[in-house]
Amino acid sequence: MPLAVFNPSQPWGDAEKHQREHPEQWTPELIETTASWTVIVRSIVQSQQEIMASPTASPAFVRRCAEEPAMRAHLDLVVDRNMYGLLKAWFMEGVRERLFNHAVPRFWRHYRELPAVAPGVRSSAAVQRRIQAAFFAATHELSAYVGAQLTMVSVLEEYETPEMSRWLARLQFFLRQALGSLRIGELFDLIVDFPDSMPAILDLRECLSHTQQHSDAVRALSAAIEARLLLPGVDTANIIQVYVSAIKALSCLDPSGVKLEAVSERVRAYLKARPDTIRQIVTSLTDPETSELLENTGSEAELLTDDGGADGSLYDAADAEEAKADEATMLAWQPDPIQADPSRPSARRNADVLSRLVNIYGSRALFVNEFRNMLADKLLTASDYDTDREVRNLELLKKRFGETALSQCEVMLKDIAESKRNTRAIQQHFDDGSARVLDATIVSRLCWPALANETFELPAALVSEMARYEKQYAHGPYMHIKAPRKLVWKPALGMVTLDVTFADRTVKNVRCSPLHATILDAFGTQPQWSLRTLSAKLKVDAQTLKKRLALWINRGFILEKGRSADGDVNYEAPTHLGKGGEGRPGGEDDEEEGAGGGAAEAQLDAEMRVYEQYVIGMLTNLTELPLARINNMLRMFVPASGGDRGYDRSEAELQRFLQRLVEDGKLELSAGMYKIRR
Amino acid sequence: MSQTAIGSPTTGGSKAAAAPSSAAGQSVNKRLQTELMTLMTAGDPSLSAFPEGDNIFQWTGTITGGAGTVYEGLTFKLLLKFPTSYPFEAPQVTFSTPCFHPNVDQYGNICLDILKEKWSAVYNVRTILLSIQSLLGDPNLDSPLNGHAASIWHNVPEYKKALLKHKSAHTAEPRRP
Repeated sequence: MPLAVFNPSQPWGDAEKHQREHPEQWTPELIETTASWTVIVRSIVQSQQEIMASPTASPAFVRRCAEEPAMRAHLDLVVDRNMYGLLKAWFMEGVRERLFNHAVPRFWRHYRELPAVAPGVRSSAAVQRRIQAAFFAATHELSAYVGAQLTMVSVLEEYETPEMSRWLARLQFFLRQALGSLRIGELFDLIVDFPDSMPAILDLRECLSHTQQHSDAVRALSAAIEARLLLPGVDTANIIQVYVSAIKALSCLDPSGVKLEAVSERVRAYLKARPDTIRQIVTSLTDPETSELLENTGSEAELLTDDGGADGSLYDAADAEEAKADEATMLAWQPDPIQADPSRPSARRNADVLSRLVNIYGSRALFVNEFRNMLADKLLTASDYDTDREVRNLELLKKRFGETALSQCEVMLKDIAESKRNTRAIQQHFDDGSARVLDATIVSRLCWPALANETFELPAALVSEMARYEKQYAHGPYMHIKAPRKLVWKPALGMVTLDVTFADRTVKNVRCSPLHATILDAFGTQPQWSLRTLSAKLKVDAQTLKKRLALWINRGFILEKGRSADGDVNYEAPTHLGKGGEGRPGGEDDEEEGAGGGAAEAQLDAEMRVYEQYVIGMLTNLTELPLARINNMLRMFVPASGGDRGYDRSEAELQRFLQRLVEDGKLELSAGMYKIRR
Repeated sequence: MSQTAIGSPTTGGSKAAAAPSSAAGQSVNKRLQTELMTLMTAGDPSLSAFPEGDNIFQWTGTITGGAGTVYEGLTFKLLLKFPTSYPFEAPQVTFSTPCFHPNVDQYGNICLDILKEKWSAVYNVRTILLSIQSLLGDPNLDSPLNGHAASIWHNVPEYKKALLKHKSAHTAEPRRP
């Protein structure tokens, strides 16, 4: 069939070649048609080139069709010979290809000039005008291009029932597809800048709703996340932030949450593997600057506190409202979109930002625990009994995790309030005017997380103050209302505010831990100490002491005076605080980190001590065991109870630990078997 | 706590503890884990016990003779088998190393009231071990399982000699029931 030689991508070449090679097949009619076809196609191609060069010029093809009767005749002939469909197909193919490869990228070149100023920087009026001008130029060019194409289409359309709108829809589709591809390529950046990139996200949503490029978007975004986000060098806080932005942006883009589900799987798995994820999330929950995470619940919570004294009728009203809302959600139900993974329950898809973060771990207990630890830290280092912010945070979290999960935190806050009352009551009885030297925080051991139990020799003045407090406590009004209790002091916890006096000046309001204060006090009574004598005096091991001394050395309050022959370090308190001393940058920060790490380390040690007892126990009874068995047994018999997680060390960690016991002379290792050293 | 030895020994460990499977088994499991935890954290080096293998229902115990008794410095191994109805039923406790003692027979069976009819659910592994440890230094001579040991109990030097002889004669081949 000679018609087959009219290949849309090779509009005339094939036909001419075919004519040369098989002249016998070519009837005069066919030759005539081919000639007309060639003329029209050439004219269209020429017009297209003109449009590319200058989109505003009116296409020559249209002009010629209007002005030259010969051109019309050619067109009529082609249409008469049933070649109209072929011509249209070829034309559309050309338009599509040009749109993708030339017109839209050109449009984008203009469009991209828009954010040439750094985002967030307030641009001047002149720059804004330039941006507007560039934008108009870009849109104008694109619309002129589309317009020119449409005029050509209109010529062809005259031979059919005029269905301009269908052609327009076709063009729009191509345009959306091109725009969609572009936006998909930029999706990761859009998520990173999320609230600012909202218009672009909306563009993309518009595109995707027509072009069904969802799977492309998911694939591209997953690849981008893999390549740019989930790297060891990226801060956990940043990952969480991007994850949160992604949750928000994608729920904007695709309210059903299917896409988010597909993308977030990897991020969740990655975050789960990071050790500090929980802490970061809890921090961002309680930090007022980043607590926008809670915004959806925040408004509700505020409502709740506003009508704090809500009576029964209000509750009824709330119930009724809730019922109505339930009905509304029921009616608004929509089936899952076609791209949804049917193996997952759809209920999860509608969860909000916080529950998604919490769901990383699948359990709330971990978060509640971490929050409890952080709350304990905060409460113990606060010197006033002000807990307003913590109460607010707790209320917010309660909204999320439920009352029962956070009851322990509730007790902690109550402890603080009660301690305040108590301390004030007790201090009233000290009538020598020396009140407020010591504020005690009385904690309920069962509800607080494990507290570090460091002991050391407190300064005598403080000890007598504590004794006085304790005595008053035993006789105080408190004892009449509560069952008698004994105070057990935890000297390492809390906060001390000091005024440090030197010959040349006084540094006021130095806040530090009790041990730091004790060290400084020791230097107050005797200006020179060696590490060993100080360690003996305060009953603190030298390692810890050295770490703590670093803070004062950093601040210039204490000087290191070199080592003696036996490796002991000598320290001295200067009489004058030099210029380089006070507020050496970073000093405080170092200390904070050191203290935090120390606490975590201490806790780790405490855990390990429990394991040590288990190991000793099993080796006493079972004589000798290989590493793997010990690991297995610990895993099996050390239970997860309360806040403890049970045994979750790797074999390598256990090996290091056992090695330490071997070095300490507690165990011995022979032929791969550990046993007790007799 | 007072313990009086009685005539009948606890039945020897012929019946293996059934593997836990039910919800009841779970709670026993939990109880045993907690007991292990308290025992481990108590940190008493003279009393110790630990599950033998993957089965938490069978433990090996180790006790050291109390100071001031003839058993001072000697170490004995025990085998503890917990029934699935523990703690409402007493565990079966036997010596797995030989023990020359008026209330312990040649198979290691122990005659101790709290392991028989005076058992109560408030006892735990630690109290059992403690009772056996004090039984070593304070036997009930009225209902002996080992007549020879009972007869020479009051003759300390002879008893000590017999004890050490018995111990060294058997340490070559530790017996496991």
